[in-house]
Amino acid sequence: MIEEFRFLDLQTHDAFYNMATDEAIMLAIKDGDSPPTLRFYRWNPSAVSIGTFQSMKEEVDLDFCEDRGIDAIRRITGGGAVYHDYEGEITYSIILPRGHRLAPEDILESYRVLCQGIVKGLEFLGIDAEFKPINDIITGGKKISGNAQTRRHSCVLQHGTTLLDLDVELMFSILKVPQEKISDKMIADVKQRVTSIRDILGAEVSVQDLREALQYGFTEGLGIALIPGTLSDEERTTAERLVVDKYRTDDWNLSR
Amino acid sequence: MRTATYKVPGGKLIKVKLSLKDDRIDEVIITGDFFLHPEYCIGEIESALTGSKMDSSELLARVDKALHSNAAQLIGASASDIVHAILSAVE
Repeated sequence: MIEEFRFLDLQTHDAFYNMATDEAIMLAIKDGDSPPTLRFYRWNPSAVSIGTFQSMKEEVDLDFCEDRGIDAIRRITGGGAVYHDYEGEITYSIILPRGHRLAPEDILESYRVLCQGIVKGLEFLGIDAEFKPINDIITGGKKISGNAQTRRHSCVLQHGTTLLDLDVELMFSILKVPQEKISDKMIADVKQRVTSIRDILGAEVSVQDLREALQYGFTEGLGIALIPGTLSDEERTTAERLVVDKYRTDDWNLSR
Repeated sequence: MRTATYKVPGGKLIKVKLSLKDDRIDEVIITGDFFLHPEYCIGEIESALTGSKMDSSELLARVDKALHSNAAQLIGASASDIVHAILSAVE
């Protein structure tokens, strides 16, 4: 029998509630109160998220973000800074109990397995993409999706973004991109390194088209059935508490 | 604070900020876009490095010990890469 996942279909929240929701779901799964879950979401206001080991002030131009009404948040996952444009991407999170067949203990292998959802989703749109270790999905040699994972609360959480659109100038205004990183890849122009669905297929691809593709991709790529569901009351309460106690605080966001 | 940035070839970026006292690490903060599981181990690594001489084998032993005692896994960087970044900060 095909395994069922709770599916929290595309919703829009601010950065703080989005990140709090991921952790609230982990805590509920840890307590045996919630099933494995896949969620799709957008960020409104648009936001920048940084990896858990990054320095907010070194990575993000906070004055620029404040002027433009862009939120800034630290994730519980490692990896790099990501700009989540409301119109330009869909983020997913998949949360599984440790030991689940789709989350092997080998971390790179588990990225490879879970990223098949995105690879298949892009394939549905007609884009030939592949997983590139450590945590990227590329097409034509360019990154189109970034992913990040943490293992805590007896769970594996992987979340990631798939780019529908890319505003490089805006991204560079928000992020302080280190020269070393660019020179190492020997390509100074980010347009040579990163692409988006609309770069490849044209402007007519909508957020809903991507949503549909990702739903297909995760179903096929992971061999699971997505059962529409909602957050439990308890998860919602936990998320609201985490927003206040953690994700909105400078103690968390500016901790490094 | 002395600083250094090291892009691991084929891996992630490590940044260090550190201060010295009597030629030993007084405080060090390691940041970057690498992965470390479990994440709280970053604090254990930083604590373990405090008091170390700027000697590559001592630095490496301290990072390795913090990693092993937490059964931690670095991804996109290694213990040696952290040491490399630290030593770069004082060159």
